[in-house]
Amino acid sequence: MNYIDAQYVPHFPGGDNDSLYDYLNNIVRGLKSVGPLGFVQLDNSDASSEMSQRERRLLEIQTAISSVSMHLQTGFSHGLSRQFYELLDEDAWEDEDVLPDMSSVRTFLQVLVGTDGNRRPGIGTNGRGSVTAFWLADGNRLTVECLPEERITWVLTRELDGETVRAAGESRPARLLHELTPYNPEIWFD
Amino acid sequence: MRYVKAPIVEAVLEFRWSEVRSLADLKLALEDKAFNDFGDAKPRVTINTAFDVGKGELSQDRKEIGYETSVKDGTERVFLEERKFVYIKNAPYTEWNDFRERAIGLIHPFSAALNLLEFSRIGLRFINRIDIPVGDGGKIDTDEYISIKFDGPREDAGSIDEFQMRVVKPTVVEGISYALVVATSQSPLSGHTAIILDIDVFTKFPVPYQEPTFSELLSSMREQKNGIFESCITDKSRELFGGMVK
Repeated sequence: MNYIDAQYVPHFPGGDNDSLYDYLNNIVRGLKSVGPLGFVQLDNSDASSEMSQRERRLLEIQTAISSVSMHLQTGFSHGLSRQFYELLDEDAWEDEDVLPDMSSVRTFLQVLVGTDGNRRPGIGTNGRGSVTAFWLADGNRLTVECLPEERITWVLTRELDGETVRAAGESRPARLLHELTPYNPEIWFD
Repeated sequence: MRYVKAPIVEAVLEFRWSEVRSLADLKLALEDKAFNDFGDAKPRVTINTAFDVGKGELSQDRKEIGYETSVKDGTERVFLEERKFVYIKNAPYTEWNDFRERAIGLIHPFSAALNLLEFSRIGLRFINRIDIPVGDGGKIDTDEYISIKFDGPREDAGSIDEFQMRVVKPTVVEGISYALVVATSQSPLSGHTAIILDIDVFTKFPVPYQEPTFSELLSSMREQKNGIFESCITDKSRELFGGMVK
């Protein structure tokens, strides 16, 4: 038997930077890279594409969405990728805003996988790097702010038994659905 | 036959040729209506940084080698270089016929524009990631999920911190070889770890771009790729893929 001890497993791209095609090719090329006589090769000649920070971040986000698409409902990932395309559109994006950071994007994707819903949320950013997801159904609103390192804050307004209930909390994506159970969260996800 | 949750992260068709094509010709070929869904082409570059020991100087050499373009939702990308065309379909992967027809729908006008009559190499590459839930013990037994085994040269603690292997072999079909990469990896899912299976089936001989040879070759390469994948995984992995699409 060969056990993998998960706490040591190295990061392998499944979301950031270039495609796996480029990443794996560059590893193999790097192993063979030597400088000409009299030169020390400091950086190998990895092939990559030139784009602005905003364009590269969009591609990273779309790659991250793609990488979990098999764990989302059919068609979900295409719609999400287009939402981020619109959010980061050159004409719509404010240059002074901080681009969504990838750790927050991964948290956002964990929320979607964990809630396994049929309805895509609206998305936004707070201009400081986090990703905000919100669901609205019959006046009931759920907002989840996705922060780095799998941290979230959530706030909701929900009509229950003729009363308007407001609630909020801090949690992790894997626990969100459990914490929302008293508020019948299927209204947002099913 | 395909899995409900196919573990394919990237499906790639790569075509190479011998004679260099100019950047201008590459860009012109991108203007064909087949590429209407794709956005503006971005330059693909290599940057070499070296230290001249004799002069004590750093030098940097930036070279433009081609272009990249992608569709709006980022699920399809095309790399064009002086000697190669690469079509990448990111997950979600649907089925072979969709993938094949899309790739051929792009390479066909591209080949015509550049007068490519023969490919020196064709590569069909599928990069798979098997997401495996980690139990309370924080460990998984790789033997339960893949048939590739690592038996170390000595008795030790019996766990693997990292594992990466690359092997290149001929297939049973003359002129077709494959490169197989197996590696442990992080999973994007919480509470999971992952194993990467990167299968690159490629030709060892020049292939004329003419039918029916071309389509028959692609079918044969696909059969090899599927066979390699299935022989690498176990039923426990198959369970993770959610069964077959009906």
